[in-house]
Amino acid sequence: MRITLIISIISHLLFSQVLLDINSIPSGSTVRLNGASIGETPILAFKVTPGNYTLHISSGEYAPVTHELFVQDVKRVKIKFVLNPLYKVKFRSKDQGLTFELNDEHSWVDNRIKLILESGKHTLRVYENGHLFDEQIIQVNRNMEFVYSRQKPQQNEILIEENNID
Amino acid sequence: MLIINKKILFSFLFILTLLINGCGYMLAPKYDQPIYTFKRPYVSVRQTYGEIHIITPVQLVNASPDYFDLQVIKTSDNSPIISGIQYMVGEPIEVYLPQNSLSLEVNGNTLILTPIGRNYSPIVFKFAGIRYGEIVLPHTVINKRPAIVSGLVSKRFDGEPLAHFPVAIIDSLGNKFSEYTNMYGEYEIKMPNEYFYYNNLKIVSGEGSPFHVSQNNIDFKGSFSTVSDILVGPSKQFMEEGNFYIVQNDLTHYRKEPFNGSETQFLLSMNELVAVSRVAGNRLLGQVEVFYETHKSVNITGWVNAKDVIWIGDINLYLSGYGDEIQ
Repeated sequence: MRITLIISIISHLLFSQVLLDINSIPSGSTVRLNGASIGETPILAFKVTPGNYTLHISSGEYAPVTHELFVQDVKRVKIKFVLNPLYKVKFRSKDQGLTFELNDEHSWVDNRIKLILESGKHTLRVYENGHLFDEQIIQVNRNMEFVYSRQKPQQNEILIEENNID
Repeated sequence: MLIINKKILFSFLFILTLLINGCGYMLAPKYDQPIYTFKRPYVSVRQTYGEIHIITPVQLVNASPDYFDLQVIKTSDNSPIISGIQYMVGEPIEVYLPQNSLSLEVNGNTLILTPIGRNYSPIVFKFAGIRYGEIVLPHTVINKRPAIVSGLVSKRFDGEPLAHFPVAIIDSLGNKFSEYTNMYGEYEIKMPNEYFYYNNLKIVSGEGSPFHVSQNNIDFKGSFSTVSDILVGPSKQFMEEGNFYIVQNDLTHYRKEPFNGSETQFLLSMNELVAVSRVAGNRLLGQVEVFYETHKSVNITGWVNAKDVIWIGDINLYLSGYGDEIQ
């Protein structure tokens, strides 16, 4: 009786398979499931058993994504990602001796620097001699150049210039 | 020479300054890693459940229950999974259940199919479930003893059997079981078991034949097999009247008097015989034979409209030819 029950449980787990479809924009993104590569999107009918999974999606000029997925005991799971693109941003400061920091994490002192930024809003903090004296929100939605100047803008003058570069 | 060299040097430095200022990012450092936002990307997740489709093939032989009742329970504790589903006879017996609603153990589920009617036992299937997909249960045959009516069809006036003669049994709902007699005039009609219990069955003979359609009640008399011999056509005595006309259509008026609007005694059926004794314009005076028991009849006099009947000449020739080509 106990053996029958064990066999039944094992059979249930073995045959309790769920079909997983993974799609992304852009297609051709590399997919890793619990660290193991399973191919590129679109992935159709990949068999998994119900449970928790970590999905990692990456594609050259897009920000990678890590997603925790709980697969229920269902017939099919369809998951779709829309990745955020990365843009080339040239940053230039008109002033000397400043320290710049993006998103509380990335900092530099160079007056000119080339950055790769994910599309969206970034928080820029400006320090002089270790003291914070300016904070700005930078909206990135294309390849561009940011020019920073510490002087307060006069009428009809902007503090941060945004220039298109392609 | 020194002046020329200075000019060249200043030109070179000027051009170099322009180049450096114009392409300032050529020598600019590159931040060593991409910088991400905290913005979550768009993720869409859809989890789709399947369904379980159970098919129960059932074949009825000589059986006609009123309907079927179906329920599915878990064998271990008799807890219902689904119950009270009804199917009419002839309807496919299939049921759809949500995914994971069945036990996956061997014989973990029980399907009980109960035909509703006289003397039926439930049909029980024990089976292992699946998460989703199709389950086809074993084919089941419900075989019951048929109710049988058999007999001989023959001509009333000479007793000769009639081959390939149409015979049918009709119930009160108009359900019909038809047969033809064999070369010896014999017929046998098998009906579902339930018909043994019906008390309003009628046997009808002669539809589509040159004979008048006759109709009798059926009584099984407590036996699943009963004999009902059928006599068709006029009696020998009526044949001696002669000068026969045959009715062309059902519901032909048979009147007491020849004039329009006179009382209709009854309506004649197609192929009824009228022995005409007098013709008066477009009216015919004659007699029809009416059987009130198998061998007992009366002749009733009346009038028919000439357009409703047709003269058939020699009745022996008319009636004796039926079925000869079959023999």
